[in-house]
Amino acid sequence: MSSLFGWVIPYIVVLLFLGGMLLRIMSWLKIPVPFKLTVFPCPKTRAGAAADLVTESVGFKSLWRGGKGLWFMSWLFHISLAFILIGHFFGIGFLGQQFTWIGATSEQSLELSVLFGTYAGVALSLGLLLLAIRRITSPTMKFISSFADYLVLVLLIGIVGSGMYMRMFHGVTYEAVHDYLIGLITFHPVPLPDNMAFIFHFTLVQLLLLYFPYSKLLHSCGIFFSRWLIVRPHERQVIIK
Amino acid sequence: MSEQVRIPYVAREKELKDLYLPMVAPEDRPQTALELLGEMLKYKRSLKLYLDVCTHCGACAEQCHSYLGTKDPYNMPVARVDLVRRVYKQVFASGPSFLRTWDGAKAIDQETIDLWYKYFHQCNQCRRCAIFCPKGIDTAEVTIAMRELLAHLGMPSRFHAGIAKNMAKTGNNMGNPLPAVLDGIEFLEEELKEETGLDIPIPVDKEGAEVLFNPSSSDLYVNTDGFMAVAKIFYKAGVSWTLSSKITETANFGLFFHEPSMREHSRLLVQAGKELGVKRLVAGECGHGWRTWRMFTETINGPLPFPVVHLFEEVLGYLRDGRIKFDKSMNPEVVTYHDPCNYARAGDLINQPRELLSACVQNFVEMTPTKELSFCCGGGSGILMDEAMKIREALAQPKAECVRSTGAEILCAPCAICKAQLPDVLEHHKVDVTVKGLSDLMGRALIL
Ligand code: HEM
Ligand code: SF4
Ligand code: SF4
Repeated sequence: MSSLFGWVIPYIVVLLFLGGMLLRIMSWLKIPVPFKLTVFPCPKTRAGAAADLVTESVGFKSLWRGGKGLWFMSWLFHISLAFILIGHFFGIGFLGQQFTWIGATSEQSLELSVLFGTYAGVALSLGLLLLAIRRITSPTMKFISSFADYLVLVLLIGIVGSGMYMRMFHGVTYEAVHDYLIGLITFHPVPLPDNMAFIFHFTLVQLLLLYFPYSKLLHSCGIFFSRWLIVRPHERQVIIK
Repeated sequence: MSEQVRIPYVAREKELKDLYLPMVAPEDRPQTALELLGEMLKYKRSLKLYLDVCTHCGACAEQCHSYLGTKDPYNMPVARVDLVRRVYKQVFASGPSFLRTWDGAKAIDQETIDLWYKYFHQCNQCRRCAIFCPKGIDTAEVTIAMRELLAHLGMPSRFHAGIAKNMAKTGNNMGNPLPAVLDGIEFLEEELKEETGLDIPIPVDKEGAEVLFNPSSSDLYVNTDGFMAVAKIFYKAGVSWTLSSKITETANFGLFFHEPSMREHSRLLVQAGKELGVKRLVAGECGHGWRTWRMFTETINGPLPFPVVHLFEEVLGYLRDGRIKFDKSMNPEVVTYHDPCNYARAGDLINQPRELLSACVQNFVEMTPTKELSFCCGGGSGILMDEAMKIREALAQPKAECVRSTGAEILCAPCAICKAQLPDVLEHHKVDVTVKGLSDLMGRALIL
């Protein structure tokens, strides 16, 4: 049983996720773009347009143009999500020792890693909760929300909540998770850490991955394609003066 | 065939025939609509992307004048697109069907098509939402697609179909036959003589002219001051120019609902220019006409044999070269500028008109919001039907407040549609201002 959950299913989930995303992206790329949809003023060069995509994804420029409240919630959520994803990589990958590279001692590094993780987790929860409250309380948001819009938020809150819980109150260590994940990546099975909180967190993440390619979470990739349509520089066939 | 009255009115059989559009029986429409939507999803990447990537964040809602003016929740850009998205999720989206149900998937029915008709005629294709949507979702693009789809369901608006038919038959949207056009031009030449004492020509079909000028036909009959101003400017700058008797229309209604009409319109004009051997084509005051020229023509008509420039770019060239001069004191009033959506956001004409204005008026004030953030006049995409007056007034409400708070006496709105929409609706909203084109103001200030 535990080898099914710990060993077989994760591979299937990852394959379905990657394959699904690839298919979705291909499904956009194979459709032509018959007309130029550039919105002016636009960047003058392709490099400029690419830079625009970067500033948009780091700073959420367009949201900033409108109501600052939504900008704050959304930006807080996404930026802490980005930190957490990076944090997972370094924290688990290097067992919290990543800060020794910049001169910290081994214990200090581990403490810092845990501390940053906690801060980012709190920020992420805050962002998610604010977004959820906004969606539930505003009548216009209710009008445009469907079940999936709430579901995604609930799922993410569940993931963040269980992640924080298992680290803070359930004594899940980097080592246990590290060994298990490295085992998965190198195809050398190691049993699932025997910890209900971790199993819960890990299962929710897998559910999210399964849902990802068929949900609005597709925006995380799609945004670059859709924004490209309106920011790509428009080479005019003819210019006088 | 009993159908409820729709505002704006739906085209009748004769208009459909003129545009080679089919009549589709109401009970067949849902099925046909699905086939058409399927086709569109295969050739418009934007459409599929937009249907896939919206996160229902609602950032677009408060930025759409249509929602602000009507307070109808279906007029939020996201809700408007959701009317299509629910059908897309039901039929075309990938993934297991229970997941798609969570996204609001719903089977298509008569009512859906009625909602499409209603709400895609309350979107002005202004593209303001595209500026505020973090995904860059341009709802105007969806509206264009859905109007096209409705047209092929035999449901274009009567007004749009009528105009496209006029254009195809007479070469102008007003449907004036050639002799009437020529008469009108002769009359304007006499007016010019009376006003200035000079022989300022309005040449028609002059071979070898440098410039083919393409006005919107309404300028020949309604906003004649602006048109005469253009004649004066060409005269003063010493440029040989001409109109074409085949086509005196730059306002391309095909953009709004019917690609074949759009393509044919541009083709006619390019051909006229070729036959006359002109060096370039100058487009007159018309927002969506300009957007078509600037962004679409090359793609659907192929490479152009000569440059297409806007009147403002052309005149700015004369001004910078010192070939014409303005006397600002001729325009002493407080003037504000309305950025036609299809100039600013969609056509890259933001600073050119401002440079011209600052050269020819004494008191220029900016409106807030302005430039690419400007609100639409509420007539965009040809929502100019008499029967839709109530809607037009509601759509214009945000703009009316912007104009009111400038305190301007003259509102410069250099687009044929804005000029047709704004005077009526501003009066309704009790904003006391005179609407003029930029050409009118340049004409008044031009030192002959
Ligand atoms: C794994 C990656 C991502 C996840 C899980 C995610 C999740 C979400 C969720 C749940 C929402 C909806 C929030 C709401 O209910 O209002 C959202 C909205 C949004 N996302 Fe993401 N996102 C991801 C990546 C990205 C990326 C890479 C970008 C930009 C480059 C981005 C930009 C946005 C924007 C602009 C919104 C709309 C504002 C909002 O509703 O918060 N997202 N995202
Ligand atoms: S294009 Fe303009 S009218 Fe249409 S949905 Fe967007 S903001 Fe509203
Ligand atoms: S702003 Fe864009 S992503 Fe957000 S609801 Fe509107 S269309 Fe969807």
